[in-house]
Amino acid sequence: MFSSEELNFKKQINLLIDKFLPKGWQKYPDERLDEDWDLSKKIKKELAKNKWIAPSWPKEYGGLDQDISSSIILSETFAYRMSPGNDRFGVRMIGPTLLKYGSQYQKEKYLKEITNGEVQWCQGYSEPNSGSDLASVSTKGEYDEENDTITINGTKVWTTLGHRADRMFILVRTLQDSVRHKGLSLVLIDMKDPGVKVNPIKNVSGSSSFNEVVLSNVKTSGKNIVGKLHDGWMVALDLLNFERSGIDYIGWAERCLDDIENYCKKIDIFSRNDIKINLALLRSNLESAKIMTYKALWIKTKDEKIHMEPSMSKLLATEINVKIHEFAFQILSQKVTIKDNNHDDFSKRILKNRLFFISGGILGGTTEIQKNIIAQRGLGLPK
Amino acid sequence: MIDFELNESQKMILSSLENSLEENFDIRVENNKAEGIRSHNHGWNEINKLGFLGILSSEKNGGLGLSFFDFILTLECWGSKLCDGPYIENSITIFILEKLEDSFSNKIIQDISTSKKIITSIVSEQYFNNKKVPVIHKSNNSYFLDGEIKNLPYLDESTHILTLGLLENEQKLIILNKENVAILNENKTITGQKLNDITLKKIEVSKNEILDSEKLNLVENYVKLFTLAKCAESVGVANSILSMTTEYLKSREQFNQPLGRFQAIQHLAADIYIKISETRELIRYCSKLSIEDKKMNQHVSLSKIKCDEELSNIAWASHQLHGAIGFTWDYGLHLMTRKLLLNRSLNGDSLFHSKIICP
Repeated sequence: MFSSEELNFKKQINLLIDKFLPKGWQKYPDERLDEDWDLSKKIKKELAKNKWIAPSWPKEYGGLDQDISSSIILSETFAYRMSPGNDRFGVRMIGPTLLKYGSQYQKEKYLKEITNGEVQWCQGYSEPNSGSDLASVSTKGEYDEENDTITINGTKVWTTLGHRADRMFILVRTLQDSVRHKGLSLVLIDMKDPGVKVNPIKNVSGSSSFNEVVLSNVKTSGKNIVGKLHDGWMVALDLLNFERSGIDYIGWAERCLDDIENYCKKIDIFSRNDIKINLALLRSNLESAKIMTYKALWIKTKDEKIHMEPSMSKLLATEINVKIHEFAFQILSQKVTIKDNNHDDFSKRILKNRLFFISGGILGGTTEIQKNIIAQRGLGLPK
Repeated sequence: MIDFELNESQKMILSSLENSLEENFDIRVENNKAEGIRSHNHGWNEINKLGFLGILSSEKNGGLGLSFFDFILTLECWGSKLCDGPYIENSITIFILEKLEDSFSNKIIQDISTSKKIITSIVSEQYFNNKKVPVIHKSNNSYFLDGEIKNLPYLDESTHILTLGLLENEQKLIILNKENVAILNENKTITGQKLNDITLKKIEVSKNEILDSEKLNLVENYVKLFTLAKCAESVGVANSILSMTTEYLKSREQFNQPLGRFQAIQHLAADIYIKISETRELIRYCSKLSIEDKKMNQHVSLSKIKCDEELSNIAWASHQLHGAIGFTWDYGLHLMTRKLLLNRSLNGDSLFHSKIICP
């Protein structure tokens, strides 16, 4: 799948991670912790020096003009190593969206910030009353034509990295009498605006990776509307397709499968037929999900159409990740559930991740929403 | 570099093959075959006429000189039209013979490519049931083959048989003229395909007919490629199930609306679509690997396990989505189900392939 040059790039990424990650690193980064966040910033800076933050972006915006393979390798390797420092909101969501729909002003102002590793973005889509039904967002964006500004009021939830972010891309209703997907705009705001208040939300795994973001009279220039005013729905949907490849889940899943396979060898159960069959099935599903993920990322670079592949790959990658963690949970059994002296780092990780990855089938459009999309747009079944 | 695009020539091949195979497809004839009323191999004549028997033969040997990946694409089409006949057996034989690069092999390749010789085989099943493999005896400078071959398909259509033989406990591939064998029994697959048990009594074979290579393990490679090819055929069969199902869900109305409008139905249909898509991509990726690449062994097993796990479940899900009509013989969905179940039972079970994936 990858050329020797691309595999060499993978080696270099691993060497860079080796330089920063403490030996025996055994956890999914928790960017609420200052030490993990600092590590993330340091790694991003080092990536930026090599222009590796977004290698497939054009050179003029800090990329290397490489094809999508290097971006895939970067994300997959970071996920496999469970390393902080791989920016998905800037590099994989708003960045490609600005490259496709953004004005020259937006490209020049925001893209270089991302490739310099200086700025963290977050996503303002879901609201307390708009989850899967994204078209029902009610956060108001009032456009003042005279001053060319938008004033935003409302609440966004499940905002990952909201507490660390410098900027947010936010979906707001700019035509107040509009319904559903009409009258929405995708807007860029500064999280340091005094009207932004971020409240952490603790999740089932015990950490607080996401937040509630309350917006009170937050002002932004009309120059920060992505695409056309009142016509941001398709831009917002396309952005979701950039989000949905599922590549991180592939890296996390593969790491867990390799680790649990080694653990089975360590405790002498690897030769059991039932263990071999389970491991082989998981490996087979992981490999097919991985190829689908590559295809979803590749297809986004081929044309302007919205394809089904991102929905399929997101679903497959999140499902296999959960299946593998569930298998690991079952093998480790009481080593995970009873916190005694044997509760080592690996068991802690499996416990935390098994619980955390419940989120995979929910965020970025639930599994059920993806199936609706596939059935209606992919198979042409009636709405 | 990642590339999933089919090139223009691949698209053209698929389109011409699809049109030819579509023309004479008749579900009633296929139903008769499954019932044992009629012997029929849909698509076999078309493959011959279009020159696809030489798809993997080099141009110097009179073939089309296409890649294994191209061959896999044709098999998806072949499977989707429920075709039958020794297309896979002949193509893989050619692929193996091409690696030998000797005049004997080249002559056979040329004969297969021009349909002068048609090979049938059950090598893969012989490989998985090692005890029943015919034995090669050496006497002076001559070789003799003794034993039985069970459940050999396509004997009527073929002129020659490719079989496994044990020579001093080493498995070899041997090409035999079918006139030298005696038929013991006639069996049938659940799809209606005729199979024969045959016996080999002191059949003399020349040294040339015992295929050998210092560079490649011919037997393992034959089995590996055959397994992958059957996986691609199964994906094609599953794809025809998807087409049938989607069409039905759009046209069948209940509660005054198409069945396909109900979310519960849509999700089951989406599951079928996803499973086929991922299985197909896994097989296609594997078919691009070189047979010398050790990774290919593992990826063939990953593909086979994936097919075994997913594709027959697709058939069961489709029966559920079709309701009572899919339960009838005449509707023909059972033909695809039978083909998938048959293919699942061939080429090694999950445990065998698990041991290759997790050595």
